Amino acid sequence: MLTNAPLQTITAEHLERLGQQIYHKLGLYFDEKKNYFLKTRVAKRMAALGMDNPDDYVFMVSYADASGLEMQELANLVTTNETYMFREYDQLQGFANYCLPEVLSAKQDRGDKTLRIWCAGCSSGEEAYTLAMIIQEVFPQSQSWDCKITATDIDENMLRKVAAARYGQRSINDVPQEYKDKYLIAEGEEYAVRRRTAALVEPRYLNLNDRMALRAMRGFDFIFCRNVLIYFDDLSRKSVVDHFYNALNPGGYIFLGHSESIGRVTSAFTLKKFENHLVYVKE
Amino acid sequence: MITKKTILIVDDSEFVRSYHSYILEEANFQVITAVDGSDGLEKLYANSCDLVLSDINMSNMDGYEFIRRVRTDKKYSALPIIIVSTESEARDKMKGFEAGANLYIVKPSSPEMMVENIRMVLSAN
Amino acid sequence: MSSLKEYATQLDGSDQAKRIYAAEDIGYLNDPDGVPFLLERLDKESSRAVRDVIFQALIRIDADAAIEGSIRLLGSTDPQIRNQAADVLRNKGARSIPFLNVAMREGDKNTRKLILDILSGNPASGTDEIYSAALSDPDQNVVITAVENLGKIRAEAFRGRIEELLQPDAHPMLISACLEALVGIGHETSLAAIRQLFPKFEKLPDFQLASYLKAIAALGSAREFAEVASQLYVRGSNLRPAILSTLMAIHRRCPSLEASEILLSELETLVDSGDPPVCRYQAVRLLGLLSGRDDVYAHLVSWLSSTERLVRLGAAEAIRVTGRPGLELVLAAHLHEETDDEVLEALRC
Repeated sequence: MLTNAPLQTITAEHLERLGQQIYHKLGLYFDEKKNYFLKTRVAKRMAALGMDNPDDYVFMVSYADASGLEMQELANLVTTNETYMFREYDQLQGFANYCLPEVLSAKQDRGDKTLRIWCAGCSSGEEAYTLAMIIQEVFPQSQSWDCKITATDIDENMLRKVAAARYGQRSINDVPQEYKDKYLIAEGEEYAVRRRTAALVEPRYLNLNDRMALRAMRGFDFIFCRNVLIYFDDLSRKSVVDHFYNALNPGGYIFLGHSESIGRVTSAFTLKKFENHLVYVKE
Repeated sequence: MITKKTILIVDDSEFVRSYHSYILEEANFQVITAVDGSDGLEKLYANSCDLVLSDINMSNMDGYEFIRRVRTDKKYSALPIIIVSTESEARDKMKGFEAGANLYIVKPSSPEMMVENIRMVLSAN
Repeated sequence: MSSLKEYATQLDGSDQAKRIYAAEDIGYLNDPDGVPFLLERLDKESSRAVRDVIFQALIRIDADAAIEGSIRLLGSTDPQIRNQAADVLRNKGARSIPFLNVAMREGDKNTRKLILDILSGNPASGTDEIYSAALSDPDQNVVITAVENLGKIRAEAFRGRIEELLQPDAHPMLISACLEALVGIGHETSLAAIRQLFPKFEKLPDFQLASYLKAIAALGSAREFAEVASQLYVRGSNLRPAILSTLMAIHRRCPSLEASEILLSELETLVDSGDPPVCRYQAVRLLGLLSGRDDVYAHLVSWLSSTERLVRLGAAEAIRVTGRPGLELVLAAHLHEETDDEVLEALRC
């Protein structure tokens, strides 16, 4: 239970400073509209640490958390680990309406009929299958192309779920109806991904901390690694993203979570704007 | 109604961003801030800015690289950019102009001079 | 061939990806002999991506050579190199401090400023000599950065030196830096020094008032409360959040403070139509703290139905703080019509 005292003394300034620290250290952007949300989580951490004064908490997180452990504790509270299909729809729109057509068009011009996507840290696979549905929807010719979505994770249990391609109601709540009708089959209380769509996704074990395994990942047109890197320390995060750079073909795009910024981690990628979508590409 | 001009401040020091923000707001500008060159590019693309004040020495992406990348985008070829840096050697200034800056101010500048320089660059634009 | 020699050869190859792998492998090898190869490559490497990995490797190599090499790079004419070298030294933490001490004595003003940037936010011991020298540095930027750092790390031992820097002829940026540093480490002598410098703070320009307010928020008392409150509708709207924060901070230290009718009225006006929006939230919160009056409480309750979410949020929090009997029922009554997640959380909390 939260004590009221810390909650009442946490000011907008404290939240702004913590938001900046979260942005600096985790690359996670915190919308000021979520200030109350952040405030309650901070109060929780203060209570856990037996701290009364938010000045002390801000100081500790900013300057006395060399191991980054407290920042991780806070990150665990402020991020949702929930995964579901069509999460962060805006970003998927940018992918589907601009980035994907651009890459496909360039490949078509070269006579290259392959499309490779990597979902890094795929968890139970909702994202990978979302991308599979989008590809089949906006690019019907994908049937005659060599398209593959490599969904990797370190958790074998998760990879089994990816292979099963069956999801409960919570996972499919945000799937637009026309996609449900075309790409999913209701089976009892679950939904199975239709075989033709599921076939695009290949689950594979991969530990993002294994640099040798990362080096073997080459030739991708898109990499999605959303809401995963915030759990890495600075150096590891940078290392993974550098490997992502190498794994991408020139002209390939990288997508982190919509509130994560690749620009915080590396300046190797180039920022591009499509209407109101900001995306990062390897030039 | 005259709309306020918007200035993007790119500096890795929270104190400097805040200090310059208050100076510019007092001079009736709207201010957006960024913590380094990468953040500066994102803020620039996401907002409509009339002028940029950029530091040079920043982690992740320094000021010269930031300015070069801004200038590679045709949309921003004429965007006024002023470097505000502690580095005062002639070679630093030359590099700044080569990267595409319009003006180079050495920190710490007096608030009056800073505002005057900004107005001068805006009106020349 | 030893691994290091193999990697060193690859590091000079024409394939960018292989140069990246080679630099990474040298880093993981953690052999001090790898440092010269990395530094030599940096001299000729044009790819930002490869340079990035070289610097990461220098961070990984646990050796004085990596520190010494990075210090030499602080003088590079290439800002990517000198700033990434600064990052390496920052990462090395306390281990780099003895080397930084020497570099501080020998370096030019740009190097001295960079060293302070490296130390920014690092409360490690062993830096007293650096800061002591920096506070008397002939270059203003070095002094300002030192003050900034000392405030951040709450270096109380340097309070007196910072107070001494508060002089009428000091550069305004230095004055602001000192004011902000004293937020973390100031006490009564600091408040006295500030009041001596600003006997008529109403004449302060806005940009300096902002820093002054931060210091007063940390150190001020009832006397300053009335003075700060008087500025609420005198200054630009951009300063309102800072003024309101300062009033709240002083009130926390002096909870029996009473607000004037003028202030209460100004706060009510702010809630209804304040700009920027965050000060509407702050004004509601402050009203809740300043007045136990029934009419103010009635306003708080009415603001639970405001069209502005920040006002509703502030009202929910303010009502809770009043501790009035029946407040839970009052808050619960608004649950069904509330659609904003955060306000809902505040109503339920």
